[in-house]
Amino acid sequence: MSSKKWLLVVMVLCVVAVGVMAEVRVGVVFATGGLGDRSFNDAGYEGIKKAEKELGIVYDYVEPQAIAEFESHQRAFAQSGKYDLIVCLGFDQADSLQKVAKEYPKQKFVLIDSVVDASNVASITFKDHEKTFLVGALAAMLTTDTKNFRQMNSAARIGAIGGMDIPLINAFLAGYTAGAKYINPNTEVYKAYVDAWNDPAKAKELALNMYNRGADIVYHAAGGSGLGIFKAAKQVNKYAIGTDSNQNFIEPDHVLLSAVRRLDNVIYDQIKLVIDGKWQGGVHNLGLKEKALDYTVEDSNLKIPQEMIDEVETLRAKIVSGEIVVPDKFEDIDAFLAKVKR
Amino acid sequence: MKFWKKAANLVLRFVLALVASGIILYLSGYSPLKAYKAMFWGAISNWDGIALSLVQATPLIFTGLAVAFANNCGIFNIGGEGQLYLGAIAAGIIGAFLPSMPHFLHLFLALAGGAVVGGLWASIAAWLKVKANANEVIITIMLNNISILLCSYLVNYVFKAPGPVPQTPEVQPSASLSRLGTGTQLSTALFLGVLLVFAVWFILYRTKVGYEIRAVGANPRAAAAAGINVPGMMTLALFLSGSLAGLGGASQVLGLHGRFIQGFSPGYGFDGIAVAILGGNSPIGVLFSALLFGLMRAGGMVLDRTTKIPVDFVLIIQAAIILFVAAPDIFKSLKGGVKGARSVAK
Repeated sequence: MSSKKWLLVVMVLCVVAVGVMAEVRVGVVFATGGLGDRSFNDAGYEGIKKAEKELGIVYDYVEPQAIAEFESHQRAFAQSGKYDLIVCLGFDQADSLQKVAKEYPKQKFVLIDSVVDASNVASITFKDHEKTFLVGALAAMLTTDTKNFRQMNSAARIGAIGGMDIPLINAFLAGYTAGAKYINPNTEVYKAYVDAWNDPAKAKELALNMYNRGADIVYHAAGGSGLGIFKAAKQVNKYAIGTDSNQNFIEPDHVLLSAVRRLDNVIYDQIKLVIDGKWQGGVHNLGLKEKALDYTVEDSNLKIPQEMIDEVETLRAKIVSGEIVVPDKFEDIDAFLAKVKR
Repeated sequence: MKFWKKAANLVLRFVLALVASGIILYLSGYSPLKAYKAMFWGAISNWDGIALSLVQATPLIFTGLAVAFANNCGIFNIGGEGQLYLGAIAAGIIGAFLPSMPHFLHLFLALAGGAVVGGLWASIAAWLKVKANANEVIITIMLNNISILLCSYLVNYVFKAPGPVPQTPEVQPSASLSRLGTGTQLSTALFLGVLLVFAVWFILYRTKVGYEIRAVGANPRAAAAAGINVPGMMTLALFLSGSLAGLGGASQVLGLHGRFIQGFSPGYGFDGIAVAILGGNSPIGVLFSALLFGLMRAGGMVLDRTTKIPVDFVLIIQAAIILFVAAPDIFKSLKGGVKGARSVAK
């Protein structure tokens, strides 16, 4: 090989090396539901892909099958020293991250849905009850709207299905119930739990049961299990509400709207902060005010009357301003309703 | 050489499993060789990989022993998962809530609590089998659901740690199975498991009770004719089987997680069935088949982390290995069970 060619090779290598060094690399440890849940994990993945497209990052990810795997994945990512940021999705990663974050104090971590008290961890939690309040309010208005929706009955009955009977999910359901009862105190809200994030068959049976008892609309906060609720809605020709990401397109003739976490925005922002050198650890509790939560009617073939949307937007403004403080526990709902009535 | 024939047979089945899943990988546009290299080389080529394999194997030693022990008495215990959960939560509660006391006493109480609770839970099935001639397979399966939901209730309402996560408070250091270093999940739970392998071997092959248990497993009528207390042996075998599964749960809580967490088991109890049968229902066989399963799990994690191959293919590879390597023996043992002539592992 001539010396000219060698020079060229060296130059190319240099360019490649600089390119590799400049790249920001992100490691992602998903929750046990895995990708394809069209909910929690997929919403987070959207943010990663957005950062890949707009910020030119590269990423590696893992889909753990068990809680016992989190620690080893987190540690392996941190140990490699290749990652500018490691994103951990799901509350059950907190315990292991507590250990790993201490072992690698210079490694930046983001934890979604739980809190680890360390300066190198940004813990992100959501006021999910704020968005489900809006969705519950809409559901209460819609379920008696027999004029615009032929499949609705006149009874004020709606349903909500949670993934597990745990405080995090109960905050979703409490907000939903409070929103519904805020609109109409006589609304009956059925609730049930799947006890799994990946059991759509059981979720479907629970939803069918609610529809049979006269509920027109069933909301879910059950991760991958929630897909069964849409099947149930289709089967009995009723309505459903999606969660976490926009699920309207799954059954556009039956899913009215989705309560969404803008997990994509949140994770994208975290990556951007790292790139800009402004990233900071600590607890971030995000709600409607921070635009980390929202609902969406996009991609649904069902048309929600504008006056209902307007009413919900007024509620949103009241929550953002602090005039309404949405309860996140069932036992606080009655006190909340008594207070807003006054 | 019967042993070598069997070993060659196993290796052949293993290769067939890799070929079958390799075809699926290839047709989906991924390189099977790259996948297998990441999976197996990643799990044995460095200390981290080996440690990870051992971590993954640990619970399977316990649950494999549990299933194997009951099988030796001719009882199919599918309830390992439920017994594991109850053992885990019992150990978690004892480890977190009892007042401080010397290390070995507290640890002993937590482990014993897990073993006894798991054993008693399994004994429900034994009692129903002996008293009402109920089928232990159905009963133990059903008890799984009851146990897991019971644990879910306990951890969410009665023994919940403050905060949004369904888990018990942290186990005190005096009840922990200590970890073997900071950067590893390996704990003394592994040694406990290996110790139990030899304990079970000793009970089954070197004691009168073990002989009677195996006699009942080989032929209950002949055993009864020989004056062996068949219902008593069945109850004892299920109790000990449940204790082993319960200890598995306890060791996960005390050694790995440091507390009971809802949904901590991805089905260790069920995997114990495949582990036991692949291990020929012998304690030493269980040890080796648990190590193989652990290696496979750890390799799957490495594959997931280091390649762009979706995790679903890891599950396909693992399922193919179980199908090809363990399933023939599972069918054989089920068929044997129907004829009432279960083989006692030698």
